[in-house]
Amino acid sequence: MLVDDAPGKPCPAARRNIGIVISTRVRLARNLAGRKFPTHPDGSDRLEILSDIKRVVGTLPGGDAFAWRNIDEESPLECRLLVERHLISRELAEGSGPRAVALNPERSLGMMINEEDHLRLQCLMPGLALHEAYARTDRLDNQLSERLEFAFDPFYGYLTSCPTNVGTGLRVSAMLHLPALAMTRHIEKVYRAIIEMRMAVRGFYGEGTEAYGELYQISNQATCGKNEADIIDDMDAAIAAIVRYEERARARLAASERRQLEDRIWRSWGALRHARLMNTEEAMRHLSSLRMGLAMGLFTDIRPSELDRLFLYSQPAHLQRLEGRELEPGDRDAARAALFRKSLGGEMN
Amino acid sequence: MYICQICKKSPATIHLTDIHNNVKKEVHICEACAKEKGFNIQTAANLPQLLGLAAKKGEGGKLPGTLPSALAAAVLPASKRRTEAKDTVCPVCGFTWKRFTEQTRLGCPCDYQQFGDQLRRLIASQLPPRASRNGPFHVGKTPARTDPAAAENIRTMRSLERRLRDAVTEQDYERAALLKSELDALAHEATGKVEDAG
Ligand SMILES: [Zn+2]
Ligand SMILES: [Zn+2]
Repeated sequence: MLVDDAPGKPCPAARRNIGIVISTRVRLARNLAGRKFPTHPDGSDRLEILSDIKRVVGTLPGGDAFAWRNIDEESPLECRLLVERHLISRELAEGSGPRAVALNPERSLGMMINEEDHLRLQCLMPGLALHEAYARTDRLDNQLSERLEFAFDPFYGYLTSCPTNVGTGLRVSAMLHLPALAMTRHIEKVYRAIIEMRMAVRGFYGEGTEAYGELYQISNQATCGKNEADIIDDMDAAIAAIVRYEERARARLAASERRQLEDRIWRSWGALRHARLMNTEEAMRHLSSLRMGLAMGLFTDIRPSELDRLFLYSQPAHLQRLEGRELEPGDRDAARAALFRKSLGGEMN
Repeated sequence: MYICQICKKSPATIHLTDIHNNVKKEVHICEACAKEKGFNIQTAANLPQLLGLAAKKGEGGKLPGTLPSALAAAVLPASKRRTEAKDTVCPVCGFTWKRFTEQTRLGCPCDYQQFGDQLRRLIASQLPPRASRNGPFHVGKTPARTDPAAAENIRTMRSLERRLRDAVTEQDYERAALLKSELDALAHEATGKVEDAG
């Protein structure tokens, strides 16, 4: 299995990071020359493309370490689990026909085959690590492009199924935790600033989703007219500016509304330890309070890695995985509340 | 700092470049007006919306410079907006421009050549502010198998071709002649060495 947390053991995906930048991700879109895109309705090239890419990856130095899964053969629950862990996109999970994911042993570097493009290389790193994430993705891209003929045009760049990815095919993004900006309603200003910087803002699960847990994903809009280094530097500068803004908002709150802040944190602690029903949105809001409390030194009753594990396991597929069965939404809310009570030392009944 | 061209009150935070009949026009609008015109600010480069707005051509065209007409001009060439009779079919994947606008995804890499002008306008409308509208659009890396010098040559030639066409349309024959000789020199230099990789 690609998600292989053993019950009772520390979750390998849970991080000790409580900083404002939760994770950074780099993605490169690539297609094979002269073949129909996977989005073409007749889909006749897909199987051949998948086996071509798989064969080539096997010949790369260290290429046999990648774990492959055919998404069309995985259960819907397993697919949702991979989406919740940001290892594959919703588009790949919900697509059709031959498609696959390949992941390195640490699950940080991977490839999606036959999503919207033939090949999407991606690297996901904890904290702020855009340059390192790009360097790793770029290395894999170079190795692959020695062995595969990529669809490339000197004028347009790397050719992609959707023209909004053409050029570098590079999308860089960061998941940011911005509770103070959300609480002080400065987040609207941040939205505007981000759009002015020609970047996009999204909620936790990507395109078109709401910002649960005061988590925001920002990414670059333009993939052409700029080179890779500039795209990354501009994103770095944008993230740094937002982080400073969040830090200032936290400092202001700590100075002028410390009691309200502490009240929010301890209410969340109480709810997590005692509630009987809790949906994902509420859970993520409370976990967000604790995360902010930890980062600001206002709260110390939970370990960062445990907090991160609870963020993951409060999501529907993770929760059902833990329970070992499919759950109706109402039962999920009860199971989620029970998980928190058990994990955080609240009363059991 | 610009003031919104629609309400003439709020500061403009959304900036678009509209190239129409070879006249470059900047469009500056505020968020509220953008929303009112149905332009989702959170996904400013969202393709279906760009195309959706382009499809509603003629409707929002009362005010000069309002968003739908500006975008329609950026997305569709003037001739196409009047008549969509001729639509090339890609020999590799069978896609037409119309089919692309319906599915918002292309059929194969060759479509970038097949739908040259239309796609060029669409992509130009998403370029970052400082990038050249004449191209080359790609200024990033080159695949390992492509010779970077050859790629650079093709890039320069395509930009020159584009500028040459503009000069001819604008009847600036002096500039056109200059561009033509520049282009010929490059083509001569490249003969035998370079095959168009597109
Ligand atoms: Zn306005
Ligand atoms: Zn085609």
